[in-house]
Amino acid sequence: MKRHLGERLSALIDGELSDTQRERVLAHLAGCEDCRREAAALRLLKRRMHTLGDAAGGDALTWRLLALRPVGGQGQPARRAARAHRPGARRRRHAWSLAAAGVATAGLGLTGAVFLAGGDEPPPGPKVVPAVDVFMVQHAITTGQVPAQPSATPSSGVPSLGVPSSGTRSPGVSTPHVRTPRVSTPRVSTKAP
Amino acid sequence: MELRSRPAGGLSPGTDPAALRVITAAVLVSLVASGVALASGLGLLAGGAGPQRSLAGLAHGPAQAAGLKLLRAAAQACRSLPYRGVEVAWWGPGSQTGGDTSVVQVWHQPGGQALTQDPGAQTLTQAPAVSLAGPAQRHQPVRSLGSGGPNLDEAGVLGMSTQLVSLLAANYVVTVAGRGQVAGRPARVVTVRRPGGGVAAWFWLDSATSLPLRKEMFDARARLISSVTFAEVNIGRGAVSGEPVPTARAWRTTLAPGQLARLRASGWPLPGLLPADLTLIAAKESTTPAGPVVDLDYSDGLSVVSIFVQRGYLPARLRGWSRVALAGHKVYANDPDDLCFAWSARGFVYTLIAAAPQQTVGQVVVALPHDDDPGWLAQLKHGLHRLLVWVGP
Repeated sequence: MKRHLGERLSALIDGELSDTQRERVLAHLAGCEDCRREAAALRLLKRRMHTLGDAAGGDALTWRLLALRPVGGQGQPARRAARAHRPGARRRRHAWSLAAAGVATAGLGLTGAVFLAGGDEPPPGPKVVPAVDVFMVQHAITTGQVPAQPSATPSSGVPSLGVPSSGTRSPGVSTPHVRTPRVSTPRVSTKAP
Repeated sequence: MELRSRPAGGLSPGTDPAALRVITAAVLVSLVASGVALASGLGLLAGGAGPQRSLAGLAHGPAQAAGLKLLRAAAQACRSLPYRGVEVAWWGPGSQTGGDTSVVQVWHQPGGQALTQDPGAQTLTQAPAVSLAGPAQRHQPVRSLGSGGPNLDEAGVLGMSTQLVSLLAANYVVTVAGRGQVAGRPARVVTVRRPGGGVAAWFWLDSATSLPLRKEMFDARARLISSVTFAEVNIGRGAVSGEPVPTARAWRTTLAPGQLARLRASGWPLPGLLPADLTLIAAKESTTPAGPVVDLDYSDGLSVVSIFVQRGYLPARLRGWSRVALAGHKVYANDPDDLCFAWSARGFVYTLIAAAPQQTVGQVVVALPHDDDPGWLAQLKHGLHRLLVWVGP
């Protein structure tokens, strides 16, 4: 049974064989149809892989990867880009983001709690709603007026409002008039008191 | 007689003994008169109870005495005369809304306080066109609370007391300005001036009885802030009839100086003096469901400021009140035109009701305690300290 080239075909296509080994392999290929087909298939595969590699690593991606390189850095962008695209790196970066967000949230919450805790504590004593109606009555009494029980109709003899009504006017009753604010000589005679 | 009988060419006055005596007497009299006038001008003869501070540049002496005499007579009349009438009051410290105008009927019996009553809705209905020319040259509707409650006007009623006259004498210069007429009655007009000379108030006093018939008050900028006048008045024993029943009375528990001192010692903020020459004229106490409340009344003779103090604190929201800034402090206002404010500070609630110029109210508010806003940084420090205390041993 004829032995085929096997792994040596890959080495041949990758250019990893010495001259002597390459001569032997080529001699075998000349007489073995199967190995020639396999070699052709391997070359085609390698070419396609190479073509795919060029498309994935276009200029745009290259410049983006270069942009990630630190200024003045001596790193190898392609290697770092490759490392960045590894699934493990993405997971680690995601974890760091989550951790940072958690720390920020906790910090804000703690600050808010401290701020709230620093607010005024309820002073001692009851909650008071001023009895303003009662207070106003007391103030009115202080100013000289004691409120009285209102009556529905003025009793006999009680003076009227003194306001002209229906064109009539009570004799000797002046119309209430509040003067405009001004400071001038009062409406008094100039005669010495 | 002897001098006139002598011929003109006789002994000269410088050599005549009689003439010398007359001249000497005249010089002595003039010296005494000058001294009296000077002492009067310096306020030394103001009866000992005269102004406690300089009222330079203002009239004193006879003019002040005459004015005060009239006001004392007015205080006596307010206490002893029976009268009944209708008072119209305008009160507009802010003047943004044109102020409030109200009408009250007033009864007074000798020895008592004036009873005031709202004319009632029916009376006003009979005169639907009731309106008063307001200060902004526009018609103001007459405020009526109907029959549901008392009509309490911030301008007060036309009253005077000996205590207020004493304060007026201490803080203002009172002079008689002339004569006028109110409600068909001849009146004497008394002017009350501030130490700086500006008009603070005018009083019209009934010429026959000295009863106050009209009062106008001005603020420090000489703007009219209140006017109370009798639209009509009947004076005399037969004039008072149909007197209504009072619906309220003053709190009876008055606080003596010793009681006030004890309250102050236990932490109650009860000032005896306030800015704008406001002196404590009355202190009363009552009890509310929330606890005791102290009513402090202050006056300078014209303005009246009541401060109600009680232990506790105001709720975050006070129904019917609005939050306003007054003299740099956040307070609750019941009605800005009413000059009724409330706030709480350091464990006490203050309710201020004033019949006074706005500037005076602002000075009073500033003088009373407030809980100032500590700022966010101080609040953070305070909170951190508090949390550490909670967490720590």
